[in-house]
Amino acid sequence: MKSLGKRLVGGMAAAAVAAAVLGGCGQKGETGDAVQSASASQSGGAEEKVTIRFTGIKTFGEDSWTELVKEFEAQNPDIEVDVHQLPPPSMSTEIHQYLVTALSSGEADIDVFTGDVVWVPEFASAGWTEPMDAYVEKDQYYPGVIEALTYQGQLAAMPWYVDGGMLYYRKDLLEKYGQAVPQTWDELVKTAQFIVEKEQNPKLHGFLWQGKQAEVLVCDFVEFLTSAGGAVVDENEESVIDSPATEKALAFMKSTLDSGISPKSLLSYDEEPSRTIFTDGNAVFLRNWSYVWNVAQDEAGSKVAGKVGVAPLPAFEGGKSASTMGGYQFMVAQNSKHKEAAVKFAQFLSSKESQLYFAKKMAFSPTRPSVLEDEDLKRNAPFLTELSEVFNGTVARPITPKYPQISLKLQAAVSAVLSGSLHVDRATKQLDEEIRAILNQ
Amino acid sequence: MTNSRRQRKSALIGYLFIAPSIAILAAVGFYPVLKTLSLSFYDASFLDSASRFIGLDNYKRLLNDVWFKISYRNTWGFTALSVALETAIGLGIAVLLDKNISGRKWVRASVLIPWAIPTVISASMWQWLFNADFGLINYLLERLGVISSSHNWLADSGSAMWAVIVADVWKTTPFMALIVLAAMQTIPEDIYEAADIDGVRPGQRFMRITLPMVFPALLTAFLLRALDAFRVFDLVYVLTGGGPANSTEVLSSYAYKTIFSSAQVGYGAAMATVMALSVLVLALVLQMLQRRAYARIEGR
Repeated sequence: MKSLGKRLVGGMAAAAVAAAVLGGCGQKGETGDAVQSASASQSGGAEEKVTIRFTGIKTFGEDSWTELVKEFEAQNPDIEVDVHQLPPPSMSTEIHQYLVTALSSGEADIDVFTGDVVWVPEFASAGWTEPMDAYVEKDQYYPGVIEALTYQGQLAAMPWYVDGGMLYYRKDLLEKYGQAVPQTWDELVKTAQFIVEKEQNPKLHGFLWQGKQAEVLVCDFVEFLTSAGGAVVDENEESVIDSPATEKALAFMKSTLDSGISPKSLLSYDEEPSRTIFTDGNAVFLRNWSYVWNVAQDEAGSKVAGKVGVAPLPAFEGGKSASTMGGYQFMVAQNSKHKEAAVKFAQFLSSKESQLYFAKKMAFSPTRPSVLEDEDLKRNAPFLTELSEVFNGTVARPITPKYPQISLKLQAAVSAVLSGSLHVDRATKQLDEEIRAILNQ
Repeated sequence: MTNSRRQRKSALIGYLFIAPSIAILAAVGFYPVLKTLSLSFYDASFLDSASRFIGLDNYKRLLNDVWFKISYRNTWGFTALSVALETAIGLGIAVLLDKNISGRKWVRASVLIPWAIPTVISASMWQWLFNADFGLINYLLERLGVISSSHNWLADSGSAMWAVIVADVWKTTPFMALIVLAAMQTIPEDIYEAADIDGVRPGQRFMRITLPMVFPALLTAFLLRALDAFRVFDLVYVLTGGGPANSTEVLSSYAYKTIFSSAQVGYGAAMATVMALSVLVLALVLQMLQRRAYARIEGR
């Protein structure tokens, strides 16, 4: 026993040392700063090679930074870009935590970063972002995007891409049974039930969406809610959530689980698990973002290539189809020591050429309408042009600096309704109280 | 005279020697605790460098926070159930290992494996085991006819907490078992011999000799585990993230989200303070029980 105990203590000590060593790894990144270039010092000018640090998301499994950075550095030999990669957007909660901690520390270790469109008011009100008004030709972008990125009259971010929830459907199955693409949620339920019944495939699900207690649940909820004519917060930043529309939306979400057109396991799905089931051929309808289009067409990983259609999401009877505005944007940190270079890089990433690159490679919907005129793009990603009105009609999630707090309450309450531990009308009242309290703080 | 001076000098040297430890303790122990306590009286936030003193407002808010109440209840429930199960199973394993079976050394070492695996890794492992579509647990239960169709253990608010408890029991029972086993092996053999001569039955032997003799060690292990379980974070964070519907949200994970996701540092500090006070009460109660147990063993 004694020797065992000693070994344990030894093991713990080793673990502590390992932790200390690993912990130390986070402290690099100051090496490349402001290296004097030889030619600059010879010419005696102010030309100084600067290194800017770019913190960008991983774009759905594809590396999109290496090529673009190389091109930017070729165009701007006096600027070097140090890329620091974040996880993909499905981990937005973690990305948000990272950015909040890094930016609030007051250190200047981030110059340019990518952030979800919903964080813009929060970051702008905290004074972490450099106003972009002077560097952006606003008339080159969709007005809705500029509006979403403006906080208290100032443009806080450089537009990158917009995304929106959309309805993917199995074109082949709908044709087989002579069904039309549903316009209302009721039609969707009926069509899904009809096809699942006829197909006799025990693995086939009717309708998939994302029920995991995460940011995406709020996105899905806002779509159901808006298509029922409701909203979370009005333009005066006041809670309007206690409404029949909220009850309708929540009741419908719950009913898809109760009626069995959506599987119970949906409560643990975010984007990717729901996407996999759909591209494995095991679902009729799927609500997801635009990235699914390319994945579904890729025969290597998809069993439904060529059999998929995409349409605006259905609405409730008398309501209007709604799609939550998603997408990441570029921001320049207020603390950046090399703002000029940072702005230049953000402008490059937001340029027409870069946006075309993202559109072709990842089917990211551009924020500049002119990108969609590209003939090549029209041929390869027709839905980007066809659905441009979906992208431009997207609904913003509540625009307030306190959005992250509201989001956590929404996630918890909607999740509780779906799992049956909270009744719809209780949830509506409770959310109203919680959101009022947050907004009045 | 010289004697007392020498005494004073050696005392001074003694203080000098412990000074570094005290400095380190103050820096990593007292300072964070006091800082957290003071933050809990401010409306501090990452988003705003200026913060206001708001007295007990954060604590008042806690009283009306539905999700805080749920986390508080969950934390106590998790601690009570997982530690109770660990104690019972750990005791059982210790009794088995105390027998002179062949290959005992190997069994003893292998029992330790779950405890040696980092929690983050064992949590990911359990996530796969509980997986609704390809999980081993569903497969086995279906095979055995316990359930008719696969169940999504982690996504059902009725079963998620149980899943977390099972994972925790698997991981930390070895710790219980080893401490109890160590205590069992210190029981002098002659007590058992005397009992045999007096014709004591095996059941009585366990209840009257083994259990009372290992009781203080068992309580120590219980105390350590209970304090540890109360602060559970990594297991919940990886396995369920606190969901579904906050049914596995515990105080640590809720405080973490409050501070880092919604940037409410002051409010989160108030949660941490309430948590620390709860742990303190738990520790005091368990320590009192322990002292009583020792007193009884030493023949009062």
